[in-house]
Amino acid sequence: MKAVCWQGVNKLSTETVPDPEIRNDQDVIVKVGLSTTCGSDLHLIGGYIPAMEAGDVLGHEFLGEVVEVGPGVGRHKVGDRVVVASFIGCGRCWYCENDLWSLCDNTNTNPGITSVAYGYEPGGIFGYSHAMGGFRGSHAEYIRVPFADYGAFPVPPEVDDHSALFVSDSVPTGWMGADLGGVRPGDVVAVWGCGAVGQMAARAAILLGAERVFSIDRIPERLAMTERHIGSEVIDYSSTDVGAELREHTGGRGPDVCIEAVGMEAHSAGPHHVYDQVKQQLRLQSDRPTAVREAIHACRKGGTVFVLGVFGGLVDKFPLGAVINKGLTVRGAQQHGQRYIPMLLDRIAGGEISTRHLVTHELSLDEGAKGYELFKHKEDGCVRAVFDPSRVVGDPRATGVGRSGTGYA
Amino acid sequence: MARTSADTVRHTRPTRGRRPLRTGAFLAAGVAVGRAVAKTVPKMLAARRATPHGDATWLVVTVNATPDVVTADQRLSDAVADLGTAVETRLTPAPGGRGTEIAARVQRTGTAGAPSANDLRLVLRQVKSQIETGEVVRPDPPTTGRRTPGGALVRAATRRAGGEGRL
Repeated sequence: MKAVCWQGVNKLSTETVPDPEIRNDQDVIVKVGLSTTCGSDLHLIGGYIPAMEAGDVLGHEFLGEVVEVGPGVGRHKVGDRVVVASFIGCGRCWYCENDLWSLCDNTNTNPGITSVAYGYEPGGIFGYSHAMGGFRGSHAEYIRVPFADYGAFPVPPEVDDHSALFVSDSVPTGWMGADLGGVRPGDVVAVWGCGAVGQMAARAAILLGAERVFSIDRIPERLAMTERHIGSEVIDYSSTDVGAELREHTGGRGPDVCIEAVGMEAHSAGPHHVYDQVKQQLRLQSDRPTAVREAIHACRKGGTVFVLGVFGGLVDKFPLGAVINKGLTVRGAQQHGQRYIPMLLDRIAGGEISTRHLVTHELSLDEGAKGYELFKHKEDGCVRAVFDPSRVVGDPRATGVGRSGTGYA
Repeated sequence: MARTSADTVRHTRPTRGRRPLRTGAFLAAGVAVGRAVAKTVPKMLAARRATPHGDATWLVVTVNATPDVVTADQRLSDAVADLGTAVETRLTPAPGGRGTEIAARVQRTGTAGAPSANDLRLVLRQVKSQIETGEVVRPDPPTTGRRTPGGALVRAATRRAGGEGRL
């Protein structure tokens, strides 16, 4: 089968690789319908998470059709249309039973790697390096899904593929930021980043009753998209002082909840961006925490900062003094998707959450490298490049429902 | 008034009289660090060497099942039996209803054929997964046989990673 493979730092290619097979009784094999690029893939591609091997298949946010079922699977049958949580949860360890699915005890097959870095290992994830389990990714024609009874969810007929795709990761990740960030009715919330996850976090905050939600970015198309489809107010950090704007809009208090949805390759308009980039390139810090710092400074006294962006290791100039002296709660997590996915599918079916607009580019698997180039450099208004294995290069079908008009709810 | 670069140079350049003192301080600091490293590293290495067969070290996993269920599960006793006679285990209810703590250690230092700490960790993790889920999840096989220096490092790490880490 065809698959988009990592071949080395900043090198991708589409290869023919062996088809996946049932390796555990509780596996299913899914024929991939759609699989999207994600900002966190860029950290792997750029070599910031050095646990990839040449030939590893990328991709962790996907949906498709069940085509083979292991003998231990009880909730799925061949032909089911399913969306799959990007983190793999066994469903029966203490963490899964307590809805902390990305911390599953039984799905990271290489616990020794991340327990050195983090103290304890997180769960396994599709297509996200050998440090996170060594599972093949979804930018392929087929993918094996372990513990499918717990991680694959039937898509209601009224929800189309382009809408359901993002329920695999972006929508639950964003929802989790607002939910575990403790957003309550009447709150003012600020969200750093207008990518898919940031947009979904802002939408979640609105649905959880926040009175005002501000989304912060520098890319005009993303700011416009967020304003139009999510309904939050937007701040362009390249043309204004974000902290001053937030103070002005919150009566001088600062936001109650600040959600960072940017991650380890953050940009900023100030000189600290150059500082962070130099330190990162010299391997003196692994991640650039620019947006986290800004969120901590902007947050009101006693407020909450939730870190949704993916960070891999160590950061410099972390404002711990502000955390302590302002009495902040700082939380973070990889997504506990299984906790939210059924509820989110219902909300999408009910029209409360719109996701189709995120699909700005649709490509074939043969265009894997091109898709990531578009996505990484945000060329041509790219928010998400989505791979459709049924497509061919030069496919006559329209590319990008988010740009063609059909994505606008 | 703007400061000139000449001011900066004048203020920061050390005087001749200070130089010997600074050099001496650096040397003293270097010797102190060297001594500390020489003292600490052998202790750390000795501790690590002792860990695989250290009598005092229990490796522990918490299984999300009651002690009754764990005791009755043949997979634990089979796995321990496979490790040989030098392995001692104990079961304790975990606090807060979190299940059962399974602890294991090698009883005698240097027993021939005794399992290493890595073997023990791997077995404990596998038993936990089997009791909780009924299986031990397997990673996908590599898609390619292509060898690269970076890939060799990753493969070396993953060969050991199942039995490493903290328990």
